[in-house]
Amino acid sequence: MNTLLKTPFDDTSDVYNCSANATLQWSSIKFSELHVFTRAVQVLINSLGKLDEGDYWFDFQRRIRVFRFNLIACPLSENILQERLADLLAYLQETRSTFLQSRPDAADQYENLMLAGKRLQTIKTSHLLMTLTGEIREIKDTGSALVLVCEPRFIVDAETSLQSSGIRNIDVASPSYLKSDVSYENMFIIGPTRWFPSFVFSAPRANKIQLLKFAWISDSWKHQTVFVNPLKQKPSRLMQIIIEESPDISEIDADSLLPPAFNFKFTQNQVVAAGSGHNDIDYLQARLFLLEDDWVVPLSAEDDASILVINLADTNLPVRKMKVAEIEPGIFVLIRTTGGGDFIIPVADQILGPLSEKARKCQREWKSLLRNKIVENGYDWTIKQLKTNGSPRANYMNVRNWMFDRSIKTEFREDFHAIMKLIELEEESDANWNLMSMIDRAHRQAGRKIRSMLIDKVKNSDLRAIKKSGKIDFELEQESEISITAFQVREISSDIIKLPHWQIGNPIKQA
Amino acid sequence: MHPRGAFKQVNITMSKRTQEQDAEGTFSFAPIHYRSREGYRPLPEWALFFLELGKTLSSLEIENQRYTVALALPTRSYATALIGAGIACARIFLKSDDDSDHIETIYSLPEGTSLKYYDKGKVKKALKKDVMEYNGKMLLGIQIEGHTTIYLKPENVNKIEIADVDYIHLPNKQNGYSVELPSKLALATLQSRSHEFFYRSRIEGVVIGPRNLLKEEAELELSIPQNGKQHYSTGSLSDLFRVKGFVPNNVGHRFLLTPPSSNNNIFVEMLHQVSTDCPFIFDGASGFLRWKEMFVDRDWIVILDQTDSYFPNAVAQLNQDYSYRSETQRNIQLPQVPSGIEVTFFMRNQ
Repeated sequence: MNTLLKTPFDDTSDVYNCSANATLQWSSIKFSELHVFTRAVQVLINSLGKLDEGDYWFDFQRRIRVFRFNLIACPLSENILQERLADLLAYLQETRSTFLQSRPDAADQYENLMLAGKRLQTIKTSHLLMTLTGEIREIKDTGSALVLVCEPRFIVDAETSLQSSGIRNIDVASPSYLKSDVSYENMFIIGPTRWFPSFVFSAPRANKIQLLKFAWISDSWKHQTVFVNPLKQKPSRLMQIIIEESPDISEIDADSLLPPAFNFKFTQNQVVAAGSGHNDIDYLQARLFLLEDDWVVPLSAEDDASILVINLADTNLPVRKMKVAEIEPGIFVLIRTTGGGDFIIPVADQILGPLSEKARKCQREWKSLLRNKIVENGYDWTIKQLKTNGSPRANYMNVRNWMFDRSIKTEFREDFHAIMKLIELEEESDANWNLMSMIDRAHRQAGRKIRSMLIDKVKNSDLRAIKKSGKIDFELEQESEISITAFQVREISSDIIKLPHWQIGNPIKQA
Repeated sequence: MHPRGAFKQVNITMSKRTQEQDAEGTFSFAPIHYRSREGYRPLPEWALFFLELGKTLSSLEIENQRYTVALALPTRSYATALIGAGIACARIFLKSDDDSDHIETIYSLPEGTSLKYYDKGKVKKALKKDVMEYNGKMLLGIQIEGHTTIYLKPENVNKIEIADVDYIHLPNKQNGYSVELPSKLALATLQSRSHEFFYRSRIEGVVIGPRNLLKEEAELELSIPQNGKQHYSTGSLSDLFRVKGFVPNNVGHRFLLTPPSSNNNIFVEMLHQVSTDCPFIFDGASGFLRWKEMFVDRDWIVILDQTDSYFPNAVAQLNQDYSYRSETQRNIQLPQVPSGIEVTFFMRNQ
């Protein structure tokens, strides 16, 4: 499939051709030392019993499970493999005495894992990478090829490892990349089918799919219809393929090798606990979003909340504001990973220049005084007073918005004047209004500037690279210390939680 | 849940009129080509299937029942636009006003009714005046500018359409606005119906889907080869899938479109604007899951992309709907479903 000569309709047509013609083959790789190591990890995990996130040894258990998964789900070069093994063994050595004291019941299993790791260290070959490069060399010049890894975090390592083996110019991607109308002649999938979403096989993006996995991981695959009683369709080649491995050959269940799934409930509880103890009026409704690269961000679940997003499917308007309630997995949200998550404020402050300090101080002051009035007297009294002071728009929602940092000022001057009168700053009302108007203008200017810069960057970026990695960093050219990251949303919590407003939009990196 | 064996099966065929059109060979999608980088090529099987599906569904009306057609696809691209084009083109033959009906409607309008007069690539504002007999023919009087009335022969009354808004007054002089002429593709596909198709708005369906993506897809260049592929009658998919907002305001449209993120009021307004025989095309799982309940008394065409994150939820919902389907089930005569496309079809009681 020549990607240079295709129109979008040709791309779609190629996707349908893949659906009709795709074949699926299995390659099982024997690597007994890794098998022994994998089992040793499993035996140790089993001996620890079921652990919750709060348990002392949970992080230890997660770390060795993640390590094991990285080893068998990514084609790593010998150098990377050795480096990672050395790190693990150093960690096991460091933790050893504490573990043996704390869990003498699992001491043998711990020592066995260390032995298996050391034995693995003596093997100077990367079997998975070797098999993959062999397969790639075999299909040389027979069309385009993609290596599919199950998680975006494996992409860089897989690319580096392939390059170190002399394989260049081959695409490496994770499943979300296959949501667009891309197609390849050959696709090499690393790992058993159960590590991948079903669409990788039910809506295939290659004519020849070759699955590479270790022989001791059990797997099966069979085409299944999605509707209860669908109309008869022309059979595809995939519909005729059934792969069922004998359990005695492949003894380890594919699912058991996966690292612990992200636990929304636990993270939610942690985030909520971190934000507890404040006054009721400081809280907003929020929802947790799990992003690529293991970041989590609470975003406002209030009706009118919106955020700047990149939607790569929309080529006309790739960067735009979107209501948080409409965000779906796959969309890229723009977050600043430092400085509280907000990227407009620092740029706006640069626009304001030396005046920013005075203006921000004024903003903090009047909002704090308004908040104090609400805390002391309640919303009803505050609204009544504001109305008496001449604010026609004083109501619960508006007063709440005026109090929070996310709004800069009231829309109309008479509402602002009423607030100033209430907090006994009536004489400074005009001066404060002017300062707030300056911040407001600077915010709008900053928003436009960032948006236009992002559009420019997105249009001049390799969209395939963004789609493949699920994450991209943008450096603001003139303000080099401010960077924004576009993260692809992986999962959205269904629960609504209450968080203090300063925690919203502030991302947290997961261990 | 009803036991499957208890369902009555009834075959449904297209209406007599559509069959006649097919028999005459006046209406077929098969000759349509699309523009690839290498030139025009015949539409692939999957694209023709969507056009034919739209054509079949256009004539499906069953008293007290509504249909659900859901498609699980490897990609959502072009499905809605092609099905919509199939529906719109088939309905122009199925429900088109005869010329005599149109003439009668225009002649019977009260004097002073605001009209649009399409002539030589221009559209002008006009007011209906009197009807006058001349040489045994009834001529239609229209005022275009000043106080002059011109009279049109009955065969030219198809250049007249009723205006969407009333004019307070006519300009003293008007050159008219340039207006899109029916493309050669539309002329070749729809022949004598192309003028009506291009200039008379009639809502044939509502799409709940991604506006920008659909607009890009509607720009697909299409053509029909003439004289042994020496010439091509060209146009775009938008000529057939005529969406309000995609085509210029001064020509006719066949579909309304709104993104799933629109607010409740827009949907309520839409519900009042369209007749109950207009199908709703849900382009995407989230739009279907979010808005299906509001349009429960309409026919549904559900386009599901297997790579969509909400695909499993939408499928679960449809399978549940299937278990509560109407006792009287219908078989539709569809072309063979191509590989990679999974289709379910069932009736719901109103």
